[in-house]
Amino acid sequence: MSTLVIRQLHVAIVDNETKKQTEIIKGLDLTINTGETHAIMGPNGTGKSTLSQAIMGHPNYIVTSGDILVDNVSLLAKTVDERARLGLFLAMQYPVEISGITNFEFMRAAMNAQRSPKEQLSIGNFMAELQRNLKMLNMSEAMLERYLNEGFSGGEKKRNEILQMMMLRPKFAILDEIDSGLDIDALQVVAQGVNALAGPKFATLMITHYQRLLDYIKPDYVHIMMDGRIVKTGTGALAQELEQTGYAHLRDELGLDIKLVDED
Amino acid sequence: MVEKVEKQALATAMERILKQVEPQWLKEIRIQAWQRANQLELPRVDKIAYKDWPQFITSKTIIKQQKDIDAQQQIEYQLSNYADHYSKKLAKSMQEKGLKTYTFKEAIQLVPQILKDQLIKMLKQANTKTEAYQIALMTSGWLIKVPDNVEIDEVLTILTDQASDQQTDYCNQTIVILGKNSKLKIMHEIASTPQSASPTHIGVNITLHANAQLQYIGLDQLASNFGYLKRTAHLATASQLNWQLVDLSKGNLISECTSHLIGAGSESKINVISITSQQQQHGFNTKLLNYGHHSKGEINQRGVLLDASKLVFNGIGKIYHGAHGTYANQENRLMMLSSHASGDANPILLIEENDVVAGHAASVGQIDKQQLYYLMSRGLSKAMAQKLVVTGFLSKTIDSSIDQALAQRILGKIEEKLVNG
Repeated sequence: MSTLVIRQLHVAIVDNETKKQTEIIKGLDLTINTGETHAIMGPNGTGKSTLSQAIMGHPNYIVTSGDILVDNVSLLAKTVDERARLGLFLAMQYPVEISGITNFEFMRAAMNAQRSPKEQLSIGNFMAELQRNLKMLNMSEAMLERYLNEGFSGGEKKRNEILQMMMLRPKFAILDEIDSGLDIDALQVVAQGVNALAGPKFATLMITHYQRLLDYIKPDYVHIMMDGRIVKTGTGALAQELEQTGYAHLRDELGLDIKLVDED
Repeated sequence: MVEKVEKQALATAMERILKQVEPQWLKEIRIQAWQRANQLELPRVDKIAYKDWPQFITSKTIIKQQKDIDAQQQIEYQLSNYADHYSKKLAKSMQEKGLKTYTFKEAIQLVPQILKDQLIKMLKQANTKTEAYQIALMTSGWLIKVPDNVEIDEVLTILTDQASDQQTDYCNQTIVILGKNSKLKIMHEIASTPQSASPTHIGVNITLHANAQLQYIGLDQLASNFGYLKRTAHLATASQLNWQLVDLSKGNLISECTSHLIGAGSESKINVISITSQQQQHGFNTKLLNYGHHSKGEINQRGVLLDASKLVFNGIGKIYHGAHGTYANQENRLMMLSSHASGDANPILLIEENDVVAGHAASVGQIDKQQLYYLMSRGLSKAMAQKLVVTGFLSKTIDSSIDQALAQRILGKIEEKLVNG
């Protein structure tokens, strides 16, 4: 079993122009073991995406205090690629498009990056694995010859993220709003992919606005995030409850003095 | 100072060439070209001040060599031209179909009229000092001719290899003539043997008759301190020419490529890839001149700059009066991998007609940090991620019609240059 521990984490974002730091995550604790499925929900602007980027090591997000550890090893000094090779995967909310590199080339390079020079994947094994996953995600092989995410529809991009996750088999997969921009059918397909990986060596952290996703990927834990902290943790039932009552209600119930971004 | 020394060296070279046993008509062309050269100016290449570089005589500094030339030697070129030595290993099928190839000396003997007509035409068109000198001083090259109605599907591979032991510069000229309805693909590798430092002047002159189709790939790997490449084509009605120029030269370089779209409906695409490193300075004048109505031209230039190098892409499109319904588009893009490098992408469009479609795009930028982050988040090292983004950027300019194996070879060379500088 592996464990991802986030301890009293504070994260600031740096404005590229003014170089001004703004604190977004304000003391967050979270422990995820492989074999578990977690969901983080919360109103807009509470730092859900910031958390995912900070775990992955995006250079614009600065950890000002606290720690992120995988099996007791701190990630803070590790580069983005080292974190990935330790078993972290972030399915991005907005995957970038990269021209001139085919999806196929990219995926093969990524798979081989995890392996030592002696254990590079044979093209046969790679193709077999790829075809199996493409089929599960209802994706056509033509996607492989297209440039990485270039001209992909929103749904295609999300599927492509899940395809990469299935190929790379991480220990900890963070899915940042994987449900946004997906219709019901696509959502089911994506959920199928995530569920296929479920097992004792795999953990999921879903970041979502909607309870709907949790109908397809059942969480063991649901965490509610507000103003840079986790304010409540419960089971799937908590998400359903929130769907009825809303975030403002929960805030008032907890007696928190927080202004929600979309509140007038 | 440089000029004075150069003039002296050039005069000596000219004297020596004129002492060679050559027919009188050729001597006369040389003398005319020489006189012409003395009246003309060096080519103008915007944003690159190269006029003080030694261009015609051996410079004392020798460029540090890399070992990658050996790989070239393993390839069997069908036509190879090492210094003044030639070797020919034409595929049988090409010979049977009627492809004619002549060395410079063979051309003088066997097809003097064709050579003479070509040289006179070239001299008439020469409007820079460098071009005229090239004609006056040329000592080697090929004349390649495809008869009317002959289509050759295989790729003709040519090696032009500059010798190291030349006292003066190396002037080489390849002339390609495609007859009506003919078709050819050329892979032209231009290289220098190790230790070579003398300036290199290489010309490629292409004539396409009606409906002819040519794909020309130029893989430039010069090691000379100064290289001047002049490629020119004249296209007759409905002929097509795709240039694919890949510049991986190690010294300073001026590269000019021009398609004269003379015939109605003629089409030309000029794709240029360049990588500069260390202190190199490379300047490109890439020109499309639309004379014929409904002619179509496209320029695509992409370059990557490393270290303290300089790279300038001038894209020049001109649509002449009378060229109705023409199309001219160009894109010039540079990616800077070092903050010490300097680059320029200058599109210039001159249009004399109304009913035309013309456009241009240019950009000078750095590698996209979001792209690097994305790739690294999948476990790729920074170096690998950078390599993928950069080769991806450049490979967009490799024409999709190019033979897969050749495209792979080009990509391999590009990767080598990115790693070795």
